Amino acid sequence: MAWSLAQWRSVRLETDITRFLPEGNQRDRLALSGLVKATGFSRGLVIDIAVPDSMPSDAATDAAATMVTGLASDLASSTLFKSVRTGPGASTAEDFQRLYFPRRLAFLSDDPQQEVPRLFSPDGLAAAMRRLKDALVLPTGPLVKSLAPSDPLMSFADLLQRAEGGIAKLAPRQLNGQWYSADLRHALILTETTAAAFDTDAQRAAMVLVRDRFAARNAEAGGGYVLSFTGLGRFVTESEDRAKSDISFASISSTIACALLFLMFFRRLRFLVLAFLPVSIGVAAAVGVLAGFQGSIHGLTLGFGGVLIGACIDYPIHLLNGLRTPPEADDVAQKAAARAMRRNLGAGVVTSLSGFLVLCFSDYPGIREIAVFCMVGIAVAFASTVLFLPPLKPWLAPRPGGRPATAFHIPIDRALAVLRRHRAVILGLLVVMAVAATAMLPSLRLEQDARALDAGEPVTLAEDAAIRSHLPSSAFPRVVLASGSDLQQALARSDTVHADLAARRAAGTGPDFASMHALLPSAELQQGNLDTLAALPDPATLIDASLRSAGFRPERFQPFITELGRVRDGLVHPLLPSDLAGTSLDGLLQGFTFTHADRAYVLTLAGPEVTPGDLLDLEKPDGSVTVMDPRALVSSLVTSSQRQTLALVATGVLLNIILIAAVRRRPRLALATLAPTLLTLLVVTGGIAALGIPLNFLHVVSLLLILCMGIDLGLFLLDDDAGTAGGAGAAPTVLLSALTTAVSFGLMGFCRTSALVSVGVTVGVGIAVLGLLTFAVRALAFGGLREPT
Amino acid sequence: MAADAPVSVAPRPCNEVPGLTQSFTDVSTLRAAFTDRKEIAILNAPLVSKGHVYYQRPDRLHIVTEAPARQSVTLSGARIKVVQADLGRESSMDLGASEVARAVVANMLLVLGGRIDALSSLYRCEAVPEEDAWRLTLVPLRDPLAKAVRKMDVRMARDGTLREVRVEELGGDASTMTFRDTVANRPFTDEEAKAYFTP
Repeated sequence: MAWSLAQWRSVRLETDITRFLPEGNQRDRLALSGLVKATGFSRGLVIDIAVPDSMPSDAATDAAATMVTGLASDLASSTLFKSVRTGPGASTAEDFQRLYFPRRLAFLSDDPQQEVPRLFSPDGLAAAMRRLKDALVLPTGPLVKSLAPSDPLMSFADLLQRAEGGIAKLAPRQLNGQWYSADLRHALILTETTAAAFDTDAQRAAMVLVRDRFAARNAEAGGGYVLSFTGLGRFVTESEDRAKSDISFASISSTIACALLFLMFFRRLRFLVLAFLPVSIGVAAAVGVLAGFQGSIHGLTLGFGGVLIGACIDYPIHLLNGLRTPPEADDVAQKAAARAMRRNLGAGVVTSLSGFLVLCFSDYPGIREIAVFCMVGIAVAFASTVLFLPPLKPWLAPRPGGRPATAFHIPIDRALAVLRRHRAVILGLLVVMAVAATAMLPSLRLEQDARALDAGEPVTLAEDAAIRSHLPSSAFPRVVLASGSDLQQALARSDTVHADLAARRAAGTGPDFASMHALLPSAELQQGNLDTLAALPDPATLIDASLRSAGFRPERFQPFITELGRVRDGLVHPLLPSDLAGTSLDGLLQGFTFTHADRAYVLTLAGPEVTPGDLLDLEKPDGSVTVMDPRALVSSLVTSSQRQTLALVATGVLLNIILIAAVRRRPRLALATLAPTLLTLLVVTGGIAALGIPLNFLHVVSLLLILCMGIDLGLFLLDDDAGTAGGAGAAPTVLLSALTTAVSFGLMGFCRTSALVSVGVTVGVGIAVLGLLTFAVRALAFGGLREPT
Repeated sequence: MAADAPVSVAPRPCNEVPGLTQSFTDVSTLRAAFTDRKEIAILNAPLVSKGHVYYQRPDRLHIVTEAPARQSVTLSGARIKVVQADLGRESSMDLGASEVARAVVANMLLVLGGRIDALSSLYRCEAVPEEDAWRLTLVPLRDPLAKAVRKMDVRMARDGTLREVRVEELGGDASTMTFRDTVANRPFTDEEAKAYFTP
C-alpha cells in the first residue's frame, strides 16, 4: 500500500484515445499514419481568418493580407512556433528554378528507354516544335519564350506541370503570395508548433497566443474578422480538459451520491466512514499499481475509477448489514449465517474479478488498463473490508436482545408480498420483455465510426470541418506509403506507385493523387534519362532541321545544343534529397518523407477510390507499399476487434454461469440467481437496438460489467441460508447496493466524453433493470416474506 | 471637331485625367473577342492568334484561342490550366514558378479589371485623350517587369470597354492584342462561371 501511494508522485494523465484501439498490424499502420505530416494538421495549427462579409472581394483580400501578415509576424516572433507560413514563400520559385532547371533533362520521362528516343525522333521533334509555337500565344508565353532557347522541348514547363500535378495541388489558392480559401473569403496560415501535439501545456500556450494576438490585430483592423483554427494539438488539449473535468465530476458526484444513499439507509456517520475506507484504499491502490507499472493512467480509466466506488461499496454494505443485524438465535444458525455471508461475499468478488480478468485478454490496451485497475481496486477493497470490518462487530452490532440501529424504512417485504400475489402477471411481463428484446436484436447496428468514442467539442469539430473544406488536402483522404531500407529505395518504390496510379487515373479507374515522385523521383530514374539522352547519336542536326521547318530561327537555340553536350559529358547529375536541404522546398520533402523503425517512408496522397477498396491492390506482401485511410483506419480498427470483444464477453458470461453453478450447487437456485442477470443483458441489448443506437465495443464491455457487478444482487437476495442478513433480510442492502452502483454509473452519463457516457448509461440502466428483475425473480421463486429453507 | 473633343493631345498623368479612373474601376466582368499578334525574335514571322476572353474580378480569367490552334487557358489566382485541344494535352501550373510570367498575368488582370489605382503604383501612367477613347502609356517602374517590358500601350473607349493592349519588350519583341465585341459588367451566370472559371 505504501509502495502504491509512493507511485502517485510520478503519475501522468494520458488522453490519447488510440489506446482504446486494438493492437496489431492495423494499429502499427495507425502509428505510421500519425507520422504523416503532409496535410499540416498533425504538426501544428492551421489558422483560418474569415474576412468581414460586408467587405468586397478586392478590398477583402488586400485587407486580409495586411491582417494576416501582422498576425503571422507576431506568432513567428514567439518561441512557441517553429514555423509560420502565409504563402509559398518568396524564394520557392527561385529555389525551384535554381535546383530544377539545370537538371530538367533528368526529368524527361518516367520510361526513358522508350520515350527519350521517341522524343528526339523527327516526328517527336516536329510535335515538340508545334507545341512550342502554340505555347507562345498563351498568357504564359513570356515564360516559354524566355526559356525556349535553352529548352525548346519545354522540359522545364513539363517539370512545372509535374509539380503542379503532384504536391503543389495540395497548396491552397494563392493571391499575391498569400494563401486563401477557394472563394478568397478566408485567409490561411499554416503553422508548426515547436512542441509536439501531445505536449498540452505548450499547445495551450500556443492557442492562447493565437487568440490574443488575433484579438489585438482584429481590433487594429477595425474588427469584423473571425478567427478559427484546428490541428491535432487542439483536439488533444481539449480531450485532456474533457477527461480532467469528467474525472472530477464522476468521482465527486459518485462519492456524494453513494454517501447520501448510504446515510439514508444506515443513518450512522461511523458506518459511512467504515464503508468508504476500504473503497478509498482500493482506488488508491489501483492508481498506485498502474502508476508504478506504466507511469501513466488514461483519463477514461480514472473516470472509471471514480465510479468504481459504487461497485466496491457493495462489500462493506453487505458486511456491515450482517454485522449490525441481531445475532441468530442459536450457534448453528449463527455459523450458517456467517458461512453464507462469507460464501456470498466471496462469490461476489470472484464473479466481479472473473469478468475483469476476461477483459485483460482484450486487444484494446485501454480496456486492459481499466480491467487491471478494477481488479486491483476491487480486490484491495474486498480485502480491506473482510480484514478490517469483522473485528469491529462488537462496536457495530446491537447488544444481545437489542435491535439494530434504526435504518431508513423501506417496505420491501410489503412490496415483495404484492409481487408474489401477482406472480402470473410478473411472469407474463418477464416473458414479454424477453420476447420483445429478442425481436429487436436483428435490428442491432454496429458502430463503424471511432469518433463516436471521443467526439470533440461541437465548436471545434465545426471549425475543423470548415477549415478542412478550405484546404485542397481534404480531397486526398487515402495515404499510400512506400518504404525502403533507405530513402532512395523508398523513392524508387514511390516511382512505381506513381506509375500505377497515373495509369489508373489515365484509364479513368483511379483517383486523383499527389505524389512526391513529381518533385523527387529516384536518382536511378533520373540517371536513366541522362544516360539514354547521352547515348543518342547526334541529336543536334535533327533539332536544327525541326526548328527551321517550324519557322524558328535555329541559331537562337544554341544554349540547348550546349546543354545536350553537358549531358553527354556527364556534367549533369540527378537531384538528391540532400540538394533540397536548407531550401524552401525542404519543407515539402519533410512533409512527404519520414523514417520509422529504421525504415524510410515516402508517401503519396490519393483521393477517394473510384471503386471502394481498389487501391488496396497496390499493397505489397512484404509491406514495402501500404495503403491507408487514416480516418477510416481508426474506425476499421474499432470494428475489427468487435468479434474478439464479443467472444470475451461470452467467455465472461460462461465463466460466471460456471461459478454461480458451483457456488449455488442446486440447479434451481443457480438458475434463479442467473436469470435476472441474463435477462437484463438481453433487455439492455434489445433496448440499444430499439433506440437505434449503434452498438460500440464499450457497450459490449458494459454488458460484462453489468454481469460481474450485478450478479452480487442475486447472490444475496436469493439466498435464504444467510440468516437474518440474507434472502429477504438482505433486500434493503441489495436495493442500496443496486442503487449505489446504478447511480454511480448513471452519473457518468452526464460526462462529456462519449466513451464514458456509453458505459455509464449502459451500466447504470442495466444495474437498475437488474435490480428490479432480481426482486421480481425473488417474488416468483421464493415468495415475498422471509421463508428459511 | 466636335464640341466635346479633347482640347489637348499632350500626355497627362493618369490620376490627373478627369473621368479616367471612374471608367476603369467600373469593370467587374468582361467578355470580348480578340486578335493577338506577336512579333518574336526566335520566329521568322509574326505569330497571330484569335479567340475570346472572359474576365471576372479580381483574378478569374478564361482565354479561348480558336486559331491557329484550339487552346484554352483558365486562370484562378496564381494557378493556370491550359487545355490544348489539338494536341490532346491538358496541363496546369503555378505561375509562381516565373516571376515574369506571374507579373505579366497579374498586369493583364489589372488592365482587364481596370485597377488603375494598382497600375499607377506599378507603372508611370500617362493618358492621352483620343476622339472617343483613352490611350494610356504604362512604363514599368520596378522589377521584374522593368527588366522585361519597355512599355505598355492601352487603348480604352470612353465607355470603359477595352480596345487594344500593346506590349513592347526590352529585347525588341512585341505583342498587340486587339479587342472587339466587348461587353463589360454583364454578370456571368452560374453555368458560365462554372464553364469558364473552374480551374
